Amino acid sequence: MFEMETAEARLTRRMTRRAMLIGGAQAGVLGFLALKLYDVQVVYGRRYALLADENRIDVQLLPARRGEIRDRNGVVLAESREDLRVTIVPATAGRIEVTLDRLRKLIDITDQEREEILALAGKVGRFQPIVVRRGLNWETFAHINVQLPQLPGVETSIGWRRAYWRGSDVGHIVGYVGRADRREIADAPVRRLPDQRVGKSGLELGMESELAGSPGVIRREVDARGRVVRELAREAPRAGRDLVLTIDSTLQGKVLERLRKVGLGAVVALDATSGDVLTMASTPTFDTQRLAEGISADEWRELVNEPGHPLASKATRGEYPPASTFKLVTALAGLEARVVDPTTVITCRGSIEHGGHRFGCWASGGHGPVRLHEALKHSCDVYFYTVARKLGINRLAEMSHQLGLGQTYPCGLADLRPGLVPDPLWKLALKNKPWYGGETLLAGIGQGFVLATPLQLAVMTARVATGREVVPRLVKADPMALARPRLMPVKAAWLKAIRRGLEGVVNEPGGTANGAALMGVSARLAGKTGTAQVARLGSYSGADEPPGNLRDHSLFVGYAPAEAPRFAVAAVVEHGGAGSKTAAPLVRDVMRDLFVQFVPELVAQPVLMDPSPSTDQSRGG
Amino acid sequence: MSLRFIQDRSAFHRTSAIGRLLAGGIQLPVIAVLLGGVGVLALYSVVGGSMEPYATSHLVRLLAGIGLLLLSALLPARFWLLASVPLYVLSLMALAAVPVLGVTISGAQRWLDLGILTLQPAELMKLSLVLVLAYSYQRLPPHVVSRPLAVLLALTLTLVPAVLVLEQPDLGTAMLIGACGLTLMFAAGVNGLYFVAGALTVGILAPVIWSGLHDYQRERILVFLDPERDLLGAGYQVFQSRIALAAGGLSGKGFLQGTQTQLDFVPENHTDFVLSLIGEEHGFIGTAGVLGLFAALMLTLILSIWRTRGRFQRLVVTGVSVLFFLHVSVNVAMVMGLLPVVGVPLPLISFGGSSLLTALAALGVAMSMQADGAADLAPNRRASWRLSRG
Repeated sequence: MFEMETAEARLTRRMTRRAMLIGGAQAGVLGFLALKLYDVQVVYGRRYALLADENRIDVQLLPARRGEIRDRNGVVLAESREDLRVTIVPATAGRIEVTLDRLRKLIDITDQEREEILALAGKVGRFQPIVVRRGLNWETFAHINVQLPQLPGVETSIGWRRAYWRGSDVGHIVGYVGRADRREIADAPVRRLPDQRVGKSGLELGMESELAGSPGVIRREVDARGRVVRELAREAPRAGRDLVLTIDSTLQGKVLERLRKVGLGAVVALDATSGDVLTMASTPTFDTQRLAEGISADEWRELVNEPGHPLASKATRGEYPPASTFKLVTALAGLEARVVDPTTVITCRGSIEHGGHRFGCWASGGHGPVRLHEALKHSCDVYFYTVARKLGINRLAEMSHQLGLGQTYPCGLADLRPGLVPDPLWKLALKNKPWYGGETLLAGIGQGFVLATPLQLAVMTARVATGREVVPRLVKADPMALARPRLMPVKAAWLKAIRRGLEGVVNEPGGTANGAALMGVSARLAGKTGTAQVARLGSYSGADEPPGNLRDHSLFVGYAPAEAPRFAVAAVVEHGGAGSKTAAPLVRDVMRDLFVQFVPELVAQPVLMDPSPSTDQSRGG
Repeated sequence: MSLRFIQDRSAFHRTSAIGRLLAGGIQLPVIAVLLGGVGVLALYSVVGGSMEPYATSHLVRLLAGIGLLLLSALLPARFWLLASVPLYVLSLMALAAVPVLGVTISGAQRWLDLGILTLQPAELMKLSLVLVLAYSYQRLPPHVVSRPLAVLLALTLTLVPAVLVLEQPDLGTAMLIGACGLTLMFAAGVNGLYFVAGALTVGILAPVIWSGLHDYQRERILVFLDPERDLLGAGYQVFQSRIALAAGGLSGKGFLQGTQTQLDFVPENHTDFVLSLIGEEHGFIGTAGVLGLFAALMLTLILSIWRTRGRFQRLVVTGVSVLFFLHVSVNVAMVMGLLPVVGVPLPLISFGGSSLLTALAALGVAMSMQADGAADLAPNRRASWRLSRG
């Protein structure tokens, strides 16, 4: 027992000794660490501070080359060009004035530019590079690079610059890029970098994720004077995808020229068999290259507020009443629903009564007994009022959707407008009012609530012309993936009957677009006129036309060759008057351009002179 | 009269919880709260001055941890004696469960998802190991402490969890557990020759250990020897951390001004490398202050063994001190590039729930030991739960 106590006491003493030893070691190690910290932080602090404070480890983003956009023939429309630039970082420049003056010996810097740079140096962060000059040539660039050791704070870099070709022809389709706004930066923080541009409209916007690529990174160590000591890592940028469009930019220019002559509006030409958009023109236009170079706030405001809305493409964002061109839909819906057949005779007495209201035909004298063929050819409103009334709005809306109206297409553009295919549910939701039968009648002739964009009208035409579910596309598809659009589930005989009527419109005497027959081309145009009332129905008689912005919109949709449709074209000319008067001749001319461009073997003789626009006798439908 | 009453801590601690806490060393939670507060500020600054995503969470855990600390301190030393073996077994089971049920975070499985919190069993094991070793030496008669079987027992208790942690893989924690166990054996009075022999063995076995290491662990050691080896990989952390520390200089760039660390130049700046942020923003004064607080914590603990009688209590207090010491010194050395980057957090400051809660609980346990410093917990004598003055 006694011995145990002694052993215990001895162990306790030893434990105390060792605990103190441990405590001493702890104090010693912590003291050593504190000394080392002093060493790292204070003694060598100044040396490290250069690394940390002035330039630290510098992470630079290498902007990715944005994908190029070319037209179907390989003509470059949007290009990413290498941009050689020289920048200056105030923090490392020392006396920035001196450096700038030294730099002036190598490149021209005007006094004004010098002042601007100095002012900017005071405003932006000390480490923010300020662009002194962009777009240097290689020779100057090399000169500056050689002189860099004498130019503290000066850096050279290679970036990308977007350049647009034929910008005022294809600007609505290609779009343009600009600095990211707050919302776009939130989506992808990398866009905060001064060199990053994002698509703002057109395909640049719609195909942003494909075009943009992803930036690379350089990590490098830089010394106090801004000289690169060594590169630590480099991750190469991934270039964006190049796009080849279905558009023919030469044709686009020609079509725009024609459109400009007749006023504001849009023309869309499709390859009816594939959905390739060959031309999509809208007036007025604007020059995207100017936007890419940067315009002043005043110029921008002017552009935004210009009455013709040059920034928006009327082809995809203009929503117009389709007017009589919508009779294609009413006719096919009526036939499919067996409400009428091609032989059904409806007598037009110039108007029709419904719910106590009188719905007039454009020909107030009436067309007499008409069948489908005459109804289309003469654009008889009473015939289509009757069909629409028998159909009801829901079946009409269904066929509208089937023919491509009231929807947007995945064609690469993000800002397509959907138009409007009204139905009772829509009206209840939007206006909290029931649907009236009379509204069905108006819808049946493409008036009332119905709205469509020129692109949609072209699609509708292509679908009727080919019987296939044509979907427009602007970016050329992989040739391996090319498949003809599916056949629509409608009876071929009905389509044939309608097409015969549309042929009559252009090629038979008394057709509303009789003057618009193709000449000098061994193919026949078929189509349908439309005249969208801007002023109230009946406020003006056909004879004395109202001036200016109360005049009707002129519409025409057509396809050719009539027997084996290849092209479908839709045109809307704002306040162009009757469809037969402005839009139909325009489509005829565009169609001829299409044949000259794509099927010259069908062009019998070179057309030297445009035949004068047909002066049609009446307001065609 | 009243003065004497306060001085007579043992009399006081029997009567009130507050008295017990005072007897346990109330400076410990005070220092812990200071260090935890430094952590909250650093984590606020590391994201450029925002409570989210780290600072709020750290603050909440700190408050919860202080609760845990007080609870641990109020529990009698005898409770911890009796709980040590069950706790150890529980920790061992949790560690063994990690490979089966664990959650993988950044390539290593170290966490168990318990629904409300993800637990890192390795953290719990550190405290459990201290307790179980102290318990063993409490039970062993003094004259057998240095017998081979007793040494083998202590070694086994240490190495089993160390190997389990190494498997996760977490080299840093495994070495830390091993070092902690060995230090406790040393503190318990195991014959010094064992340590000499052990050191020689390790020297001989080093090449074997080397071949058993994971590639990234080897890479870290190689980079430790030559930081220039991989400036963008393993060396990058250290390089950036040193730059950040140096940028702080003597007095620092100021709160929220640490561009190096805030700009994500220092990876893991909210966990293991949090000291580099403190160093950049508050300079050497800041880092030395933090180091000083830790030193006060450890030395208070170590010195308290003068007032502590029982072997269990003394060893637990020593063990807690050693745990803090190992964490702090390895972490600080790592941040300065003096040691390989092994993933050891700075206690109370680094972001991480398990580490923070364990650190605070350990301090609570140490306080309990000091409060009952005079209690005789000898197993062969009948000791009641109510502690006598012995």
